[in-house]
Amino acid sequence: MPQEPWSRCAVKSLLLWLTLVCWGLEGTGPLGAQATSRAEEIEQARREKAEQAQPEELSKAEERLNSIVDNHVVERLATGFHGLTLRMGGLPTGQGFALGPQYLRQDLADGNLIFRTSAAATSGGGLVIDLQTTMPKLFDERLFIDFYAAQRNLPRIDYFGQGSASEEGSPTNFRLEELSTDFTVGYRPFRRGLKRPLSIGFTGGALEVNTGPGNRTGIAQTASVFTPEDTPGLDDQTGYLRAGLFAQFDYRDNPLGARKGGNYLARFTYYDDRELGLHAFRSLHLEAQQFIPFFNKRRVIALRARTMMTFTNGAQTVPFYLQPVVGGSEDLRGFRPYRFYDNNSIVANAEYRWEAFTGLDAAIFFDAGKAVPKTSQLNFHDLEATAGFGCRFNVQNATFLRIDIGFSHERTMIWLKFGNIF
Amino acid sequence: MMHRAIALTLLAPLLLGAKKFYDDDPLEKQPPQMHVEDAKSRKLNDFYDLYQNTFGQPGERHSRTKRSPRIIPSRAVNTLDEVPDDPAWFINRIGAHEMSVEDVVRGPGNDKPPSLDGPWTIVGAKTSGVTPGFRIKDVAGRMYLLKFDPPSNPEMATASDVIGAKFFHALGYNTPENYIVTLDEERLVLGDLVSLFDLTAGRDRTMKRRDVTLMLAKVPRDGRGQIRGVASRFLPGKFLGEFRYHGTRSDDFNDTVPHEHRRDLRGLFVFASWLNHNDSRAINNMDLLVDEGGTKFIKHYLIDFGAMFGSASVVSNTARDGNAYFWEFKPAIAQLVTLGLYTPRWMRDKYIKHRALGMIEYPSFEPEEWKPNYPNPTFQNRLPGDEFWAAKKVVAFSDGAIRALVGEAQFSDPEATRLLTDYLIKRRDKIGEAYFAKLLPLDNFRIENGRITFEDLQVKYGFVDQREYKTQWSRFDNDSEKHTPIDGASGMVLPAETRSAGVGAYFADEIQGEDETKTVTVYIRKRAAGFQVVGVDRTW
Repeated sequence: MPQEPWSRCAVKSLLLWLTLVCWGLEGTGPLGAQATSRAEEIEQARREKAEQAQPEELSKAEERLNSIVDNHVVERLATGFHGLTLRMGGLPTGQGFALGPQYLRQDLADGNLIFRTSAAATSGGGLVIDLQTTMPKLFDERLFIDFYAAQRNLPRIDYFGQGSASEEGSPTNFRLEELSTDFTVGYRPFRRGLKRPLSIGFTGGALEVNTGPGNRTGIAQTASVFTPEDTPGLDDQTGYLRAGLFAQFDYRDNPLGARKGGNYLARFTYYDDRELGLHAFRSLHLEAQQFIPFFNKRRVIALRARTMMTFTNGAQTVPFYLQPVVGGSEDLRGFRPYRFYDNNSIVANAEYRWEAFTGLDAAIFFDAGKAVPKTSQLNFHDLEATAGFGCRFNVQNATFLRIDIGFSHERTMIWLKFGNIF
Repeated sequence: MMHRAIALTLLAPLLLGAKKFYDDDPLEKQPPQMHVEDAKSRKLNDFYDLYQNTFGQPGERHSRTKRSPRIIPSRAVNTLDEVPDDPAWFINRIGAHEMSVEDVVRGPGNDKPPSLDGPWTIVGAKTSGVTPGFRIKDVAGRMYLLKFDPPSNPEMATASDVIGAKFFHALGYNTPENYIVTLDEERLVLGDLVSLFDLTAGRDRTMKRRDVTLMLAKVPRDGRGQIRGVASRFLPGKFLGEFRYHGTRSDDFNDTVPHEHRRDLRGLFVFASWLNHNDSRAINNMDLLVDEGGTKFIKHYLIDFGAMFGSASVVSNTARDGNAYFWEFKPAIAQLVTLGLYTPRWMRDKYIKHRALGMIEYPSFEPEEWKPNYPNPTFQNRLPGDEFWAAKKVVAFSDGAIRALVGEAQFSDPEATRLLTDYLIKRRDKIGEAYFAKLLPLDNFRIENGRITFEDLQVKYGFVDQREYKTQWSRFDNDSEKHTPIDGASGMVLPAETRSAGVGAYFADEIQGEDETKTVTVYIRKRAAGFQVVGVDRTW
């Protein structure tokens, strides 16, 4: 663009300046509105704003979010409508995602009685129908009573054989059908702070079990590979009456996302074989969890040791479907679910968890464990081991989802699970 | 290009009205509010605000790129670099005017707690959250929001709410009247047809007496079985929702300055850091259409101070509160990839824990490192001038005033009072030390006996010893904003030329300390009655 001579530009500017001044003096142009004081300047800005004023509007996205909040959508999903809600998940690993209706009332007897019943099916053909009635805080939370009845049909339970010597490459599959009714009465003798950390009590109930062919395609049926001699209970399922005692000392700071404290549990149960008289046994479950925080709870070492022991008299045997099992998302994360069955098991887990930001903790973990035939073999020799890492997604200090990747000498497993491992 | 520049230079004074000072400068208060007959109520969404500010950058920001830097000065300030009184937003109180300890303690009002002459009638209820709340009406017909402490931390949230309102009121903001109350359950009677959302049943229904009992079962009680609460008196006016920390309300004629540029909101960062009000987000603001003196206008309030000091309202603070955003890319990645070996300073600090206070710290408090729960546009836009303005007010709180305000919390344990008082005094001192050092902290300019006098706040508060100042006087052309140095005129004494100048003449004195980049330029105007300090400019 050719440059204008300097003099011509100056003359143009001067003319424009004079024009604007005259226009302004007449008070008809924009300069006629020139403020002559600070107050006037402010008032002028207000008048201009008033001319352009519009009602306040929210964006569509914000309006939708408000609608969710105002209509208690999240609460309704959680608590349901008139007690009717969705049950999601809750079946053992491998059955697929369970979904179904649930009727839940937590408002009965002023919140002192909780009633729940549900039916859920999975894409893999699993089914659960259950009913639970709980009185969780009687007598200033000293006493709690629970009744639970369930029918479960689990067609995708894997079985690899007994003990550590079983072959990972040749899994079999069976169906487990259970009908159970159990009651629990517990007592919390003292309060420490806001909680009553110690619970002691007893349980009693009945259990009917049946096994059959599983429905996983391409995998052999358990009954076609194994025999009753190496897999007790394979040919004859039975019915039990069971009773037991338990004690738990739970002083975790937050059971849904513990960063400090511990949780110690001992549970003894006697299974009385009422039908065949072949499979009576006693089981003892001992578990210790300890959470060691540092750096103001932004880093946590989480430790767990757990053993399941069974005891029998004479020629009685523990049926394979009630044996302790090791492997999967809840203990040995580098192994397939139900990888090791035997009469006794021991598992130790160590996790180092660190907070990346609010809402996400990362973790590296080491798992070790085994299933063995005799209690005398419950030691730290020849343990199966897993190492891995994962993420825990937290909402309001509770872990709602975790992703774990576990590596073992057998394979690499990726887990997507609701809730923390412990 | 040069030609256009000349043309623009000629036109600029007219087009921009570029007079630096008007006759009515410095403005001590905003002009009367423009009448706003009505405005629409709308409610901001908490999650939307969180995501918008965490993952976006709403509002207008400074550009700090090397190629095109652009710093946006604070607005809603007068030529003395102060915030003029504006009943809609901010009234100068402590640090600007003498405030006795009694004035500070009185706050927005302290003589209208719920009447004890009769029952408190419940007219509404909040069932969500860890702690319940009620809307109540006393026998005098006054309405309050009644809130309680979480079971884990008796006295914590109620204390925070009461003294927080008083602190922010003394600092200049509009806040509600909050009262500590102690009540028996029987004091509360249920009004007619009060509805609540039944969380356990998942539906709305009429509230029953048993609901009150169940809700109060979650509330801590003292040894006599009494319940402590905070009664927040309802503010007069039509509820219009909350104000955002960016932009303006499109229906508020008086709201002409984008909030992210308001000095009183940028400076709020300093106050929030002092008091650890990390919950300072839009949802804790309130706009009301009020009628004062026959003029209706929108008044902006700060509300809900239950999450201050060591309190997170429903639980105690964690170390993260006040030190880190919920989400921040770089620290999050750093912590992820280092397997947590990278630990920010705040993670390693030692904190003081007390049930009535939550978790507090001051030994390692670094005012400029403080963070709210998520980014706030006004806080991010703050400049050293905003920080200085706010820090002046913080240090204006005497130890006695702080002690008296903390006393309003009515802690049952004197140790809690002592700890919180120490906490605030030490953090106050750190704020003065940090922000006064960022510029030349001269203030309170006056002309006395033919010389400019001022206070050096670093000297006044003992952060540095006496220092020397270099000055340069100049004539100042108010229309062209041009300085013409007066040869040989230095020091604080007004040069001889000022005496011979006519009424309306302007002069400027640029003052430097030991750092040449930090200057304060004081503008004076000759009036018939004498000289007047009319403006203050600062560089840093």
